[in-house]
Amino acid sequence: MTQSKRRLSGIAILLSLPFAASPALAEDETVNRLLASQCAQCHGTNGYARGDFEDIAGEEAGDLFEDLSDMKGEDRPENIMDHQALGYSDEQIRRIARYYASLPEDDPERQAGSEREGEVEIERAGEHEYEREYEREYEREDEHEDEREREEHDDDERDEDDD
Amino acid sequence: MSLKRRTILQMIPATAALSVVSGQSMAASHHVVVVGGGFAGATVAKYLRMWSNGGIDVTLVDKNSRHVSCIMSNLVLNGQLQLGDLSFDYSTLQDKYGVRIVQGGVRRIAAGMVELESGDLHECDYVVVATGISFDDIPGLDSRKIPHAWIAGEQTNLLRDQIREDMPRDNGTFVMTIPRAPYRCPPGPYERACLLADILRRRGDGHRVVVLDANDRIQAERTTFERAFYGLYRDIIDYRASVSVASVNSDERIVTTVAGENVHGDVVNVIPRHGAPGLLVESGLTGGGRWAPVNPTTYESSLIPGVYVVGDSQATAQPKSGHMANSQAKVCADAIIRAAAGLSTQNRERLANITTNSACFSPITATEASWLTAVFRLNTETRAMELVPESLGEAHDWNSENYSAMFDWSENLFADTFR
Repeated sequence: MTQSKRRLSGIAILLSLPFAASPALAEDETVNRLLASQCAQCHGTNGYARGDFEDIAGEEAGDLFEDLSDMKGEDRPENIMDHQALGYSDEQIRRIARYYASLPEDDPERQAGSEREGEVEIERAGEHEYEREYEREYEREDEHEDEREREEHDDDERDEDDD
Repeated sequence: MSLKRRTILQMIPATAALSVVSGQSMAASHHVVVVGGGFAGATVAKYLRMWSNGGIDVTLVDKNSRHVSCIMSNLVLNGQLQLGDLSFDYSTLQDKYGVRIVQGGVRRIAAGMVELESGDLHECDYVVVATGISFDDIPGLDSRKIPHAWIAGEQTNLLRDQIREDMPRDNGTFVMTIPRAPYRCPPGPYERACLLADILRRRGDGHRVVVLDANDRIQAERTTFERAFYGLYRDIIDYRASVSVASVNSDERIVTTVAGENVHGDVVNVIPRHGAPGLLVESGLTGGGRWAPVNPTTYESSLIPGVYVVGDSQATAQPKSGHMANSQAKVCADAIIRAAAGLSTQNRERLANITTNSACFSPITATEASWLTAVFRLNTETRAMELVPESLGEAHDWNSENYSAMFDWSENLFADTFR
């Protein structure tokens, strides 16, 4: 294939992307798409999250911008998103918000009624059962510990200089 | 958004799927071979297909038919999960995204070419190498007897079984060694030490977890792990910094340190120092170093143009982890799509918006977890990825809320990579 043909077919790839074709947008939507894809590790591919994490696709751009700005402005960052938001400039947050706002709120795949293949959800029922079992053990453990603490003193305190 | 626009957007995946099925995508001559189907390789393959609307042919080569996630695999050790929960085949990549899956080992990589051990040659426009890590040899170390359990799979089950069967009811010693950084998953070894302490304190009395760290201090979530080691687990965990392994007696389960001390364990878990796998070394991608140098705006090798290296094998100073590998893979996929289109990957707008991020949860007990997070951005002057300092954070406390969120995090990360 000649270089010019290759270039043309390549441009066709980019133009086939959802937003690159919109003439109203001055900014490169594929840059926004790349930036926004960095949320997908936790919020799902294209912002359609699984489990209890928030879906962000189809959110109003203004709302997303405001939410992220609020997180960024926390005096004392407390959760993961407070820290994550601090990683992006206002301009980047605006781009991310614009990208997710441009997607449909409901996952087209789910709407089409197609079952998601290969659910990756890890057994939570078992997890909770395990949790209860452990809580019972913890209670016994705590009682045991209280007894021991009454009997012993801090003579087994670790020597912090032993390395 | 208008209804009409929504309708159009919803039609796009169906159209893309059609063009994949019919094999008449517009630029089928662009072909990418991805070697390695872990977090980096699977993500590159998926996003190349998704973002090019099937316009780029992608072949994923892996020696295994499925990937077993290291992420969450410490929970196999305490019986909360099984390997099956963490195993991902490539059927969704194949059926939904149209990635061609080839199972086989790879003998050689060069620009435009991947040669399999079977002798099959795959020619292509771009090669992506995502083969993770390999381990240094340690004299006397036989990983079939002394598991590393740092590449998940049979090794994980071997260590789990040894913990179950070979640790006595009381007064047992578990020895683990942490390699010199950079290694895969910075908080991972400390998390493992905590989970072992948790397992053993339930089993009986007087157990010890001896942690021999080749590094001079805890490498991640220091506040959290110091609190766990010197607080919650002070009677169990014996953490020793700056202790390197010289040799191992795999039958007697003895680690000999560089200082000459013999440390015996009922169960011993030696994680050797990491480097890029031999395939990269032999293909000239490491240039004599331990890792493969790349341009972090594309992940194209600094040594062999047209070959890209993502995930744990590459030499940027970003942490090595599955989450980071997924993150970098998207930058790489975007770069290859642009290159295929004959467009610049180095324009100012793109460079100003290259970011990656890390987020992870660490179980500290069987019901409570902590977390760690950070964002990295391109320094457009040095062309290196650097930490955004204020984005770095760790959990103030380990708790059950984080423990539950850990499953949401991993579920979404697994899905964004393999589904």
